[in-house]
Amino acid sequence: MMGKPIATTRTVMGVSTGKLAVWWLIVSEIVIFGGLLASYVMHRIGHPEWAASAAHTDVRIGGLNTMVLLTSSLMAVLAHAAAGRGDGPLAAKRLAVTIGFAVMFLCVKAYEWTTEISHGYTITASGFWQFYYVAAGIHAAHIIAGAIIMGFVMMQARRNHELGRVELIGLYWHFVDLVWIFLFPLLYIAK
Amino acid sequence: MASADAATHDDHGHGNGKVPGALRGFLKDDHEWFYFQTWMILTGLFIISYIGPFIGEALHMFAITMVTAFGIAVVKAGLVIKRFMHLMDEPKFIWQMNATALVFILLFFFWVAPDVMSHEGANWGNQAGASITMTTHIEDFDPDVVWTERCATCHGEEGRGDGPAGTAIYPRPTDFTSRAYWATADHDIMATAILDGGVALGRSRYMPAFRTAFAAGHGGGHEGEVDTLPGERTEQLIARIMTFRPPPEAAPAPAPVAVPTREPTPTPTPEPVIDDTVALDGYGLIPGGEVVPAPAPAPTGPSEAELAARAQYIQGRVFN
Ligand code: HEC
Repeated sequence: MMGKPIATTRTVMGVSTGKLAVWWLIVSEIVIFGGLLASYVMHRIGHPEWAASAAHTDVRIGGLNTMVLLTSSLMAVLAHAAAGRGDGPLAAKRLAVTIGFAVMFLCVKAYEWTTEISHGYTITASGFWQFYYVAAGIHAAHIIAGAIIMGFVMMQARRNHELGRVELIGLYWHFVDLVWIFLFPLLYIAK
Repeated sequence: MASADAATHDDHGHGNGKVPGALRGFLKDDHEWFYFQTWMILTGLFIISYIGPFIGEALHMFAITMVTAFGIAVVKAGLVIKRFMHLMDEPKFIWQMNATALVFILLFFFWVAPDVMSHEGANWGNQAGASITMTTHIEDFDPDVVWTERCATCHGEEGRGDGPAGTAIYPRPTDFTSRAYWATADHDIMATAILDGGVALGRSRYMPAFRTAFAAGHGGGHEGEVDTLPGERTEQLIARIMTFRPPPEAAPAPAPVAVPTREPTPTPTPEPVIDDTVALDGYGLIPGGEVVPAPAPAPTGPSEAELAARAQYIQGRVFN
């Protein structure tokens, strides 16, 4: 274990320091997305007129992306299971599938936004659309960041290196999935 | 490292006795099968939350949508947290710090929401929200007053669709000064919009329904009698809206302003000439297809002194 970063080996708190760091990251993300979603909910209740804007979001596209993310989460946790057995190459394969789902999510999102923007529903069209693009945009940024980091973890895992990180990126990924679990009803269903 | 044929003792063992044959190539042990089952439950819950709104709509019970949407989101979140993130397998303080963050978000919500959710504050007002929910009864009906108080917030005092609430919503309210609008305007559509709202036309939900607001109210109409007031008042408002209609021919170009400039005065593009017999066909308001002369626009140019000052300024810029 010589030469390894201390974060992966120290377990003062009963969890590896790396995992503790990811949990702290998630705590801060709860505040970021929680604040955003709480603001959305109160504004949505205070603005009955937003219903007219919200009626234009496409529940089929939102639903498709919900399934894409749920399935990507399954692949992430299966990668974790493989890594837990010390099977780095399988973990890497499963992470690759997870990244594939992330790319699919982003493609669907790009198609969705292009359609909406070309119909005039831009970020300045109304208060609803402002929230819509900011919330879904920050979420998509998390998908992009997660997929990139997952790529690095995958390359290491393929050579059976740093298998502990497979769980760490998985934790983050499940959190991003969690955010979408709430964004979906907020932006696509209850309107 | 567990071999595939190891005996299974519990869900979290490493055997694969519970994995259905078809999935053995994909799922390596019972532990993974457990994850897959969780995914199937999540998918089932997703399907319920997806079809919930359709059921809610069919039964006219919005509550169903709310429960299937948010109740299920919470259950799904719980499953992901417990079975994918294994929060409960971590030391206690991990979930405690997550819960702390969540508690602060709830505090934020309940402190701020009462203000944000109201339609009026000390120094601000949510006019769009207020005007869409304002259906209070109108006692003394005067079309001009009603226009200013109930319609202009969205449609604008001049009918251009640029009222303070009108510019805040999308799609924008109808521009009653546009020739294009009057080319296709229809009396019955206008009346339906005013009485039963944009929803009745499958159009913008922002346009509220005024039938109840215009009704006779308590003690007004007699038992068993059809209340004709909403219809009559709507006609008065349509007549009011018709005053925004631009004159049929292109308005005479404003008198040229005596400002010296090197640019040639652009020739005004001719406005499309509206065939009034067609445009007003739908209006019972104008018997015999007579055209109601629109009021001449009040001259609202800059004052003499202002013009002189401007000319001087432009001269200074252009010729020196
Ligand atoms: C909350 C904003 C709002 C208020 C208040 C409001 N309107 Fe509207 N109105 C709209 C919008 C938006 C439309 C455009 C509907 C569409 O085309 O989708 C509209 C459409 C209409 C139309 C139909 C025009 C057509 O397409 O033929 C009429 C008529 C009308 N409004 C009259 C009124 C009158 C009269 C009042 C007041 C008694 C009023 N509106 C108050 C927002 C409003």
